[in-house]
Amino acid sequence: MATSNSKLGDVLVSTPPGVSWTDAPKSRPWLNAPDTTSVTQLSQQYIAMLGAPSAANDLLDALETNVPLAVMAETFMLSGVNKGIHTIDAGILVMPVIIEVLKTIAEFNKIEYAVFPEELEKGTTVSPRVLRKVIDDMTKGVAEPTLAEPVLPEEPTGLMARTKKVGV
Amino acid sequence: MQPIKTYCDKIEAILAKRKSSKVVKKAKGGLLAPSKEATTPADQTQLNTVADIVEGIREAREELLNGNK
Repeated sequence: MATSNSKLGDVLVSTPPGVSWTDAPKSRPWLNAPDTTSVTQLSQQYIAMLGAPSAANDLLDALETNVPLAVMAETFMLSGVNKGIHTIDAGILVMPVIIEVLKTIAEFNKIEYAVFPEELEKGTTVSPRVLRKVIDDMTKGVAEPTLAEPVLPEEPTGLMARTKKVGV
Repeated sequence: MQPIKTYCDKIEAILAKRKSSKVVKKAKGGLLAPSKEATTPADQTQLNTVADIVEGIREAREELLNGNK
């Protein structure tokens, strides 16, 4: 498989079809039988994992970045599949539970959140028409910039002031 | 993400249905009445389990945020 460490020649060569079949059987955690298949048990595991004090800081940091909760839940779920804890089917079934726990944590810590990416886009996107109007309004009031005349220091006019030498 | 949203909406619909439905006494089943287990498909059971858990989390959150009622 082509990675960032691959040489240029390797990147240009495509992966042969069916390469996954040449791997040793059960060589990856997700190719083995899952640890849990029960939805109840899996939900308990996720609730315990997300509620653990050791995970709190990282979780709150992630929530503050305004990542939609469904995306975070999907990442957790896929990580579980990757570790061979459960199948992807069981993981998808449990996703509403993960989202609900994340919602609870966010509300307790008074963090604003969006559940799905669409909600985030709706909240942050400004239509080009509104944007153009705002820019027009802002530029209307601003006068054209003019070059400011350099301010010369005032010449001293007192009795003790030095007189200017002429013709030097 | 759309299939997951649809699935979450399904769970919400189950919870809304539960809230709106009145408590009805269970009908006494005669000999010919089908058992509950036989009429509920396996998928529905899983969905109900997930809905139960979600409802439980919500109730706990409401209790903690708004104080014990």
